[in-house]
Formats: sequence, structure tokens, C-alpha cells
Amino acid sequence: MSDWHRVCHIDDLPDSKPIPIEVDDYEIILVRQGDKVFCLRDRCSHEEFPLSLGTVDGGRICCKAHGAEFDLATGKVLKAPALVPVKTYEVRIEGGEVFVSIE
Amino acid sequence: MSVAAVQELSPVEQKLRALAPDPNLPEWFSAMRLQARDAYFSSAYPDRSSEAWHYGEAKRFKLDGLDIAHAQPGFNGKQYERICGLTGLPRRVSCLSMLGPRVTELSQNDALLKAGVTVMALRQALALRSEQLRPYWLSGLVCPDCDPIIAGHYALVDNGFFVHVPKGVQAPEPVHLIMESGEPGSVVAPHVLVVLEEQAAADVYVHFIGGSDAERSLQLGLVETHLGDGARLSLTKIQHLGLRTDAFTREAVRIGQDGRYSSISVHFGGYRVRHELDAELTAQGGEADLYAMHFLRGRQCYDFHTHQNHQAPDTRSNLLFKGAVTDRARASYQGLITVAPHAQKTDAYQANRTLLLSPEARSDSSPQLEIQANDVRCTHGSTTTNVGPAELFYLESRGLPRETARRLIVSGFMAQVADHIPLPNVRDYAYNYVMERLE
Amino acid sequence: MSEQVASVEVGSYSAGWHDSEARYTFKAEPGLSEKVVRQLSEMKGEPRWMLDFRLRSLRHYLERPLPAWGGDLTQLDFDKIYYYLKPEAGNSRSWDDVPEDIKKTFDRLGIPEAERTVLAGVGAQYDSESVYHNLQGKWQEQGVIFLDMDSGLREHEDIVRAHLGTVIPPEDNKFAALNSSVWSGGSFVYVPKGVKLDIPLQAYFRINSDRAGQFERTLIIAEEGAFVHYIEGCTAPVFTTDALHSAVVEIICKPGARVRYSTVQNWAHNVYNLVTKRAVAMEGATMEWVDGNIGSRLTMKYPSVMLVGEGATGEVLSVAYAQDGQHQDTGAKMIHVAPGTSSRIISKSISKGSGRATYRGLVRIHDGARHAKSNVECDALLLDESSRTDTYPYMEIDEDTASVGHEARVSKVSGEQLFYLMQRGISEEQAMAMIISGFIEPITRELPLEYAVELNRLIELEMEGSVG
Repeated sequence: MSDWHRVCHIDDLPDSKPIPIEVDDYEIILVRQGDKVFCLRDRCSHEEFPLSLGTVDGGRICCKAHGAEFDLATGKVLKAPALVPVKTYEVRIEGGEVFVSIE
Repeated sequence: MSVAAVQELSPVEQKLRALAPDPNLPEWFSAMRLQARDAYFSSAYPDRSSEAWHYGEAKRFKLDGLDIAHAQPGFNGKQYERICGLTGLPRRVSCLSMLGPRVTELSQNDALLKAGVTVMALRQALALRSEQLRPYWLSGLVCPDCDPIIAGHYALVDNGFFVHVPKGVQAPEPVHLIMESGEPGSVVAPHVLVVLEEQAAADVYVHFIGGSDAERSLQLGLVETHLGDGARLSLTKIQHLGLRTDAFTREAVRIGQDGRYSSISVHFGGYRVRHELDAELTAQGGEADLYAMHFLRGRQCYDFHTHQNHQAPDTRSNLLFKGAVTDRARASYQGLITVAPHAQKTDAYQANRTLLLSPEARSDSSPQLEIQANDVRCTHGSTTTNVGPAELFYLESRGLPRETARRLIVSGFMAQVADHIPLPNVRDYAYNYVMERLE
Repeated sequence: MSEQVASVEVGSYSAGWHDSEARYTFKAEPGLSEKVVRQLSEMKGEPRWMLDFRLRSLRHYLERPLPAWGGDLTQLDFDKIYYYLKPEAGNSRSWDDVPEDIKKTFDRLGIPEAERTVLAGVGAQYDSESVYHNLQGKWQEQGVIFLDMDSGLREHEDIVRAHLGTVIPPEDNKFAALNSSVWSGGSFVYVPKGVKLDIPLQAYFRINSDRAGQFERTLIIAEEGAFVHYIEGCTAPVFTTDALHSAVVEIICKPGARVRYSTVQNWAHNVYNLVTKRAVAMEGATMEWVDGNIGSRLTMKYPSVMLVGEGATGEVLSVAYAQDGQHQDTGAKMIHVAPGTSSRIISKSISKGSGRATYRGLVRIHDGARHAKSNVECDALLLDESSRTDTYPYMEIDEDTASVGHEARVSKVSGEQLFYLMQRGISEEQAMAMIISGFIEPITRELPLEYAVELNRLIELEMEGSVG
């Protein structure tokens, strides 16, 4: 059972930069890459630092705190010291409007 | 939902900006309010890198998007009834209720009056007993401008309760105080000041009710107690706020020589709840027993932060915080025991016990010690478990269905704290709530 | 027999050897810069990727602020430190200088006289190469690789490259970044599948390397089903002018492997000892850290185990002793990722005089680590009125089937216990020593006997003149 929330227009998002937002009190980030938008929980799985303070490099997001890296699309760990994946959320874009699904 | 955050002052913040001394309140009180107001606007909210907010979220207690609560006559009549049910026949106890500037006296108790016990609205006390309150208000037990949340409280506070028990008096009846949280989109800042003179004794209950189940409201509360030498206080707080009400409570107590403070906190409601408990054992022989029981569900987040501060020799403290977490809730506990170098023969104990009852439940616990005296006994413990499979099996093998067995174990877990509540009605209420939720 | 003698203390106990006696063939300028790192890498003849690794680490080190928690680092002047000193090859020393526990190890291992002196780096009488190779030969037969890290990089570049920095990346913390940029020396250990080493590997046995390296980098890889016990340090106090020692130890325990890493640290009281030690334990693997901290001015060390494979086990047994002017800030971290994992941390500390012992620990149970179990016990003994102890444990549990417990106790030496022993004709100092030995016994019994014996002897010495 999921809830779709309209969060913004795709033009509101700069390319390759993590943008933090809150949807229904869930802290998440949106990362736009071209005409795709990825959505992940705004917490590194290592020590829960905000990923929104990190940087995006290609298809990965790097946490500023200890250098952990995750795949933007799947949340999978790409680099230590993280050990478990970061939660990702489904994104739908309709007519430029970005929708995010939060269970 | 807009992506860019807009930094604008909320209605209550605008009122704070415009705050001027109130001619109906003592000058020293207004002076502190203005100081706190300035501190609120100039301090930065702590983030996760601050040790004290390692698990909490300070920005949840900001005044964004809120206005001061409006008193609504007849508001929460059902809750009043329930509480009167708890307290016994209304005529037998002293019961005051407050929402914002309006205080309703539900009942007054002659025995308390005769004994010289004062139970009155803070505003009234400030008007009539200004000089009596002043040394306590300005005692520094709580620093009014050291952090923005407390500063927010002191800037907003304009009412609450004052309870005073004179020297040598044992309050013959319990005192019940009801604090209501306001409508959605509102903030209340209630302040309870309890003063027990030397050798006084009392049994006080504070009920936190109101707020909303659907939209955010905020309560910034402060409960401070000053215990004279040999005084004994039992203070039970029951928080049953609406499920979208964020609540911050700082509970502080200064315990005099051979004084005894017994605190029981029961938390069932609220959304993001932070309870800070600061027990200062500043004189020899002081004792503090600090209990808490909480039951979390939905997406509630309870963040407890306690400090057993031993600054004098021969002091004793004992803390037991127990919680059961269901659904996707999260219970966090950070507790510190400090023992000053001269606080020899301190006996301090701290235990945090959590039951995780669902796959998405989460618990954080950090019991901490900073000990600088060596002739002491300091112990702490923390456990987090599910309902023990061995205990379940034992009960099931005696013919109890699994769910009943589970309920029995959880209620037994909670009973260890609930049993310390002096009034049977209140004790049963706490206990029954847990049982109902487990069904 | 060559009479190269380093300073020797009179008394029943010999002190360690002084670095200041060594002659340096190369000394970089003080302070840390890209120039120093490039020089270092060139001197060692390292491959390009290692230089890049060092430079990237340096960049991170320079950007990263000091930690806001932990011990007091304000007195440490990073600009005055020499980050690379290459001593003359083959430190020579006399047999008298060799610490007791090392001598006893030789006894226990039945190593013949001739080999002992060589292993101990003593004297030029014996043909060091051939004698050393006897022990080496035994290891080589089994496919075990035990070299200093520089040689490890040179001779087994592929293995090192595949594993270095995978457990502790340079960005992990400021001192890991520092070590990653200027590391030199340390051990490289590789134990093949199924090989169980019956004799412990000791850092002391490495020849031709910095024995008391400031920035040692150790990498231990235990293949499936392997077992190795590695011992670092010795109980003898080690004197050095180096203010800062910042080592990194990475250990990989593959499925079913077991690694025990024992450390007894007794750095002189001017040393800042900031160490990052972490192991990864895969399916069914076991990692045991046995950590003794007696010396240094400030030690910050939290051996960790990442329990990433089902049924993996981690254990940290730690004993810390803090005297006047010392701060032992130690602890452990256990991260449970996989189901069926278990961990145990036992920390015992003793604070004497104005010494301060701090326990800092983390137990984190991730969602999905079903039925994980963890237990932590911290016991602190405060001997004097001015002694101090702190405990900062963190338990973060995201798995409802897990079971986590933590207990800590602070106390002083019981007056009754002392009285009881003294009634039996034992002096107060001896009684104190006995009580303290008993207090730390659960940990010392896990150390190799010779270390335990020496540790207890040290404590006895400490107690002399301390009471009254």
C-alpha cells in the first residue's frame, strides 16, 4: 500500500546534487540526473549522517562524513565503511511533476 | 510540497519579537522572558553532532508555523471526566486545569487548604506571591537561555501551576494538575513549580492531555521542583497527548539534605517526544528514585535524556526506564550519572530496559558514567530484547494462548514501574492502557 | 658478541630500547606535506597506485577536523612531527635489552639459542639470513606469508591492492587518513585456506623493519578455515621521542576463519597513541581482539568487528591501566549485519592517581541481523580519590529478534578484601596487587602466559610505594 506524493517539478532540481526534502515526516533526498530522478533516505547507513551533505559522482552518492558510497538507483553499498544499503523510494515523473512513493 | 524552504517568522515568533514587559507580571519575571526571547532568536538549534542530541531531533521543537494556543471553553470535556475518574471523587482532591492563560479550578480541597498547602495558577502566584516565587524561579536550576528550546519556553511561558507545601506539613491529599495542549497549529509552554519546604511531603500528579491526532501542535513544558531538607515528594507525570502533538518536557529537581524525590513518568501519547530529566543531588543524604514507562506505536519517537548528578556525599539515585516499542516507533535513551570528586559514598544505579515488539521497531540506548570519586557504587545496565522465547514457551506450555502469554509478559514488564505510582486508580489506568494496546 | 648496548635500567626489570640511539639514514623535514609523502613513496620504490592512495589520503587528512570527542589532543603539535624516518637497517641490541616476555616466548616455543638472538635482532655473530629462514621456511611450507608491510606490498602487490583500505578506508577518520598517507612498516600476514598456525606470529619477529613504527600499517588475511594468533607489542615500556603513533590494522576473516589479535601496549608516557583497528568477519568466522593498554599519554583505540556473515562471532577483551597524567580512551565496536551473529565485549579498567580511563563502545544491530546477540560488560576500578572513569556505550538496535545487554560497574578496592588478605600476613602493596590481578584475570588469562605473567609483575611494581 503506497502513497504517491507530489514533491516538486523536475525543473526545480539541479543536476547531480542531493536535495533534501521531507515527505510525511520522512527525510529523503532527491537527485536528478538528466531526466531521471532518484530518491533515497537522507541518512547514510553507516552512522546516519545526512546524505544531503554529500556529493553525487556519476551514478553514486558519497557521504561526506566517512566516505561511504551508494548506488543512486538501488541504494547498494559501493564503498566502505558502510555495510548495509540505503533505502530507496520509487519515483514517477508525469508531465514534469515529480511524485515519490512512501509506504 | 515546495522544495525550497522559506524562512519566515511564524505567528508566535512574530509575537515573541514584539514582546514587551507585561505590567501584570513582576519585573524580574518579564526581564527573564525578554532575555530568553533574545536567546531563542540568537541560538542555533543543536544537531546530531551534539552529544545531547545524538538520537533526538532538536528542530522538531522549533516554533515554525505555530501560533499561541487559544483557550476553548468545553475543550476536552471527556478527558476531564476521565481524569476526575482517576482522581476519585472531584470534591476530594485539588484539581487545576490549564490551557494557555485560562485556568479552571475543577475542585478545591479543604483539607489541603487547611493544612496550608498552596495549589494555584502560576499567573496568580506571580501576582500575589511574587517574592516567594522569585528565589526559586531565578535559582538557576534550569538555565533559561542556554539552549533555544528552553529559551523558547521561558519566552513564551505565561502560566502554569505553583504548588507549595510549608515546613513540616504533609499534604493530606494528592494534588492533580492538568495541562492541556492546544489546537492544531498551536504551541503551549506550561510551567509547573513545586516547592516543598523542610520536612514537607506531598503526592503530586501532572496530567498532560490535549493536542491533536491529525495535525501538529507543540508543547514546551517545564516541571521544576525544589525540595527542602528532609522533604519528600512523589511526582507522577502522565503524558497522553494527541498523536500529532510534539512535546518537550524538562523535568528538573534540586534535592536538599536528606530529601527524597520519587518521579514516575508515563508516556503514551505525542508524536516526537523529548523528556529531559535533571536530578541534582546537591546536599548530603539526598535520594532520587526515577521511574518511567512508555508504550510506543505508529511512528512515535520518544527521546529520553536523564542526568543523575551527584554533587554531595552519601547521596543515592536509582533510575529504571522501561519501554515497549511496536509498529515503526523508536525509543531512544541517553542517561548520564556524574559523580563529583567529593561526592564519596554515592550509590547510583541506572537501568534502561526495552522490549521491541515489531519488526520495524527501533531502540537506541546510551547509559553513561562520569565518575570522579572512588568510594562509590555506580552501576548501570541496558537491555533490549523481544519478548523472551523461553518465557513465552513456559506460559504456553501451561495452556495460555500465545497472544495472552505475550500480553502477560509485557504487562509484567511494565508493572515493575507502574507499581511505584502511589494512587491505585492512576496505577490501574497506566497498566490497563498497555493491556488494551496489546490486544 | 657485539656489545651494542642501548640504555639499560638497573633493577629487576629491564627497560626497553631507545629510538634516539638509532642513527637515521634519511630524515624528512618536520610537518606533513605533499612533498614529504612523495619523497617517502619514492624512497620506498612504490607503485603509482600506492602513491595515489597516499596523496588522496593526505588531501583528506588535511581537510578533516580533529574529532570533537575523546581525549585531549590540543597539546599535540602536528607540525613538529617527523613523518618519516628510515633507521639504519638491522637495529642491533644486546640480549639484556630483550623484554622478559619475549625471552619467555622463545622458551615456550622451544626456539634454540642461536635463533633466539637472531629473532631478537641481537648481535651480528650469527648468520642472520640463514637462521631466520628456518622459521620462515616452516611458514613458507604452509603457504603462510608473514612479512613487514613494505615487503608485502613489494612481493604480493595484487593481494595487498585488493584488500588494503577495504576495511578502513582513508576517509574513515582523520588518523586513518594520516596513516594512509605516511604509513611505513607494520605486518602483512596471509594464511591460506585451512591452515591453522600453532605458534603465534609476533610483530617482534619481523626483521629489518621499524619495530616501533609511528605509522604502522597491518593487513591480515585469513582464508577459509584458517587460524592465526598475532601478537603486537610487549609489556616492556617502549621509549621514543616520537610524540604520535597512529597505526591502522585491517583484518579479513573469511568464512570459518579465526583470528586472534593480542596487543600489549606500553608506550612511554609522552606518546599519543591513536589507532584504528577493524576486522571483517564472514560466515561462521571468529575475530578476537585482546587488548592491553598500559602506557602512552593518551590512547584512543576501539577495536571493531563487522559481523557480515551469518553466524560470525566477535569478541573484544580489553584491559586498561591509567596512572597520573594518563588517559586511556578505549573500547570496542560491534556491528551486526548478518543473522545469527554474536558479540561479546569485556572491558576492565584501573585508574590510579589522577589517571583517567574511558570506555567508548558501540553495538549496532542492523535490521535483518536476526537473533543477533550481544553482551557488554564494563568494570572500572578507581584506586585513589583523584582517579577518574567514564563510560560512553551506545546500543542501536533495529532488529526486534535481537538480544542486547550491557552492564557497567564502578567501584574501588574493597576494604574488606584488603583487610582479609593483610590478616594473612600479606603486605598492603602485595594485597592490592593481588586484588587487581584478580580483577583483570578474565582478560589476562586470554593473553599468552608470558605476557600475563609480565603484566602481573608490572602491576606488582606499580603497587609498590603506591599505598600509604
